[in-house]
Amino acid sequence: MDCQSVVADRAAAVIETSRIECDQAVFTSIPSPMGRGYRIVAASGGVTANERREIIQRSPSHGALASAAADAAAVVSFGIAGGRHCVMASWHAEAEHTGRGGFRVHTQIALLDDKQFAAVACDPFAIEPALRAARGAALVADTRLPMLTFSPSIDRQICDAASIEHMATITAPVLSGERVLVTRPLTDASVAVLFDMLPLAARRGVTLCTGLRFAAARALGIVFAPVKKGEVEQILHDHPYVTDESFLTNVAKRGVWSDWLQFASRLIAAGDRRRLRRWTDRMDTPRTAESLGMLARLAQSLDAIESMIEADLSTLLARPYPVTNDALVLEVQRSLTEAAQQRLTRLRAEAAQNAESIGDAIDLSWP
Amino acid sequence: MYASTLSPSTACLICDRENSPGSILCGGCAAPMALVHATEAAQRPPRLVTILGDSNVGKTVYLGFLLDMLTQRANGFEAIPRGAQSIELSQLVISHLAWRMFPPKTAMEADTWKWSYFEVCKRGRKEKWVDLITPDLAGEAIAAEVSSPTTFTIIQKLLDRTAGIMLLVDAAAAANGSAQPDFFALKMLSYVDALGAARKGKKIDTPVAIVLTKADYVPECFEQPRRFAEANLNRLWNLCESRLSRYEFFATSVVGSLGYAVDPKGESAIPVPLHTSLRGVLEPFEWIVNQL
Repeated sequence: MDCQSVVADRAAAVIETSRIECDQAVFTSIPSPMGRGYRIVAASGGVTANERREIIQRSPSHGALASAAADAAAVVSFGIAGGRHCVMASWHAEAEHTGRGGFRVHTQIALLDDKQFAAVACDPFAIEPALRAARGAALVADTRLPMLTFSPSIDRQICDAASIEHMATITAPVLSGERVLVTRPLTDASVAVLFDMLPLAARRGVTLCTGLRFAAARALGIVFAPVKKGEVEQILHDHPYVTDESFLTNVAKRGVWSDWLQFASRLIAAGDRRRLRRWTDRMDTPRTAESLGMLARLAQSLDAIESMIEADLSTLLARPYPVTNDALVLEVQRSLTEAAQQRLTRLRAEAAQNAESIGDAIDLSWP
Repeated sequence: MYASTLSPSTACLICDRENSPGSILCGGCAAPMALVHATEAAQRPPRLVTILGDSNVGKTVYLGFLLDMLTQRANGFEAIPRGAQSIELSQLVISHLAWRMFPPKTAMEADTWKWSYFEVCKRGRKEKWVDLITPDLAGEAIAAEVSSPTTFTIIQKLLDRTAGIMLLVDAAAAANGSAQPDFFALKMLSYVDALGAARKGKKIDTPVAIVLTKADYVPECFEQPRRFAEANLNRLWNLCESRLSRYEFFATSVVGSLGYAVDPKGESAIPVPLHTSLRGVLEPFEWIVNQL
């Protein structure tokens, strides 16, 4: 028995079957009779004035993408005025129309309420494919857009061990509520691993930006941006960020989250992100390090049941579990007990059978 | 002894927000804190001159050339930069145009804006030194703030403190029949007018130089800029008459001739400045300084 059968599939089904209809907008620079330059060129009817203001404040403009390549892309996610959640995806489009070099930056924006954001498991990378598809639609400036309709999906690409390790070190300060500046280049596939490692309740409050140059005005909690060393010092002096570099050389800095992050990394490295996600998608209340660590240790014991000998199983069953009200922990404890008892029963039965066989063999050998 | 004279925090020159000692940029408005340190050492209070204008009107190019001309002591001016960052804008503009390229578009992110701080004096019988601070703002940020106040509060803070305004308007587009320059300038001045609600109906006393850019397309603009404005920017003209007590129209041009590079597919044409021919760059600035 393993974790998969323990946790209900309810959480996994949420992201795989929901169809969501939400407000959308486009921020870019295309000339029109009403104006030119970077602005909200089109939006659906439900985008409020306050939301427009904040979108303009935070959206990337000319030269804001971290890479100068034509295929550069970025993702930004944050809570917006009025209570909704804003997810932006940006790309380079054609050459900037005033001929001053560089590409036009096209930003497609989705606005989700609490229920809709929960339906995508608070994961902006579940919406990014829909935003990319919406970009393909013909854009007429100063017009009203229809609502964005999409089914969220997660593209689970394979990550290398180094990236998984890196994301685990970044997740620790995020879980502790710190603001993190990540200067090492990482792919979106690697960044998406963060959302597998974070409990749903923690994901809800995450504000994130990947693929853009650092801009303090965006005021985001996790920033993935290539920044030179001198600039890093300036940013750290002026703003309350910690950098990934300060954690990389010191794994011990994962501190109280070590057990959980080790467990999560193991699952991801084993190609079992779906399993990890089923756990974290169910964690819709804040989790302490103790609670997550307990879950990780229980899960690891559960995974190791089939290799345990009778003595270990007896010890496991005799040891009392820490008292907790956490429903998920209680569920795993029950399953662990059940699995241990079943294995113990099986081992004893096998032992009894073996003893009988040996006894018969001895009887037969005597004249 | 030195430690005891350090204040625990430093107030930003533009938005008054307190910043920790050693901050490079203000945490509120992203204005460089070096301005504060430079003003502390100055003998005169600094004067802020704000360059306003729509996107692609030529603010960066105009300001870059203006500062460079002042540094080169054009027309009897002497300008001393306060801090190396004050040279960045003119270096950016001159370097790009030397390569027959327009400088990159100014991004909306305030921490990328270039700020210049110069001590300026016109040599003559009555020499008057003026400390000038001029930020190069993004046109889209100005437009966004005008359309929805408090989107970029730094613009409002700048205008609250500004000693003079240069409002750049695209003369070429206006002469071509576009109403966009007129409407933008009208909205801009209306915004400035609304900021001074305490004046209770009195006219705006801040000197405003309306600078008609790209006037090489419309040579008659140089001869009679007022008449050009009255004919082609009538909404702006009327508002200036009604709400400004000190204003003047100027025509300016930087590019001598323009070529167009077309991509192999013929889908887009990029303007290429073949050479520069400065005209009317100093006059608006000189007028503003005389008003201060």
